[in-house]
Amino acid sequence: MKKWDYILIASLTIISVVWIIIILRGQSSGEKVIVKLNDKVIYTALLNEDSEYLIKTGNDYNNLVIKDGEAYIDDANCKGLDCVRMGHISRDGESIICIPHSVIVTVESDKDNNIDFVSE
Amino acid sequence: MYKKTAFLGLFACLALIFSYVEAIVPLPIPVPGVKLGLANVLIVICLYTYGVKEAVAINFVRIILLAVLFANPYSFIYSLAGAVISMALMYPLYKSKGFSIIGVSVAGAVGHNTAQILTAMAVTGIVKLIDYLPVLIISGIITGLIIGIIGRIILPQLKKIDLERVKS
Ligand SMILES: [Zn+2]
Repeated sequence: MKKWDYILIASLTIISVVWIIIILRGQSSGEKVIVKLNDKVIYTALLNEDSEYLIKTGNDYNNLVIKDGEAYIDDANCKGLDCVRMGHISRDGESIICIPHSVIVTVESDKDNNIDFVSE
Repeated sequence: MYKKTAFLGLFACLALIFSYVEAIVPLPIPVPGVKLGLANVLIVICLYTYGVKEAVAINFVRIILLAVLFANPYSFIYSLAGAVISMALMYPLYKSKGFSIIGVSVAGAVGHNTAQILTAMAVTGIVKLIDYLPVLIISGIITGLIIGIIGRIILPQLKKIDLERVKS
């Protein structure tokens, strides 16, 4: 290995680690779960209330579970099952995406809406 | 000449097998569509044995065949973006002589992963996916190190089998 190899690897590692620390410190937990189908909001739920919702279009389905303050897809019939493997989300801004079914599940905090409400 | 064609065909074929295995085995980081880019080991070896034109050519053949095999337009966009960015970073480092094959393949793997995240962001419209980038840079460093080390072991062996004659 040459000198520049070490410089490249070291700087990339440092940037990534600092970046990850910044991301982890900046995340606050969210309150709302929002389900979008083809960019339209079709369902909203609270993260602190356990529930289940079947996102269904034709033969396509994704089953959304909200349990113990976390949201996840436990079952779906899409190719690859990326949405199921994306696991549990609970923090503000985190998403589960099912590209084949055009479904996006996002956790958001209520704070933005409250500020709007107060200013009106 | 014939030998070179045969070798390039073999490289493209092996690269395709790597991509195929990768497409079946899912990544522990589940960003939709993102792959490790193990096929880059063949591209790096080709870059060092034949040159940039040949490396780009076998990569392009691999991507076309992959798209045909999987009939998946997304796979095509992801692989193409990964290949272009990865070579755009590897080639200047390869030319500069300041880097060994390990630095070159780390740059290639990190470039590949960055391109994949940017593609996922463009395809899904979710800017938040950029949060996965630092994790994928680290995984790119690891993949790049492994590819570079494999390349360093294989290259002298390839040279032994009379590459000068293979080249002509
Ligand atoms: Zn899915």
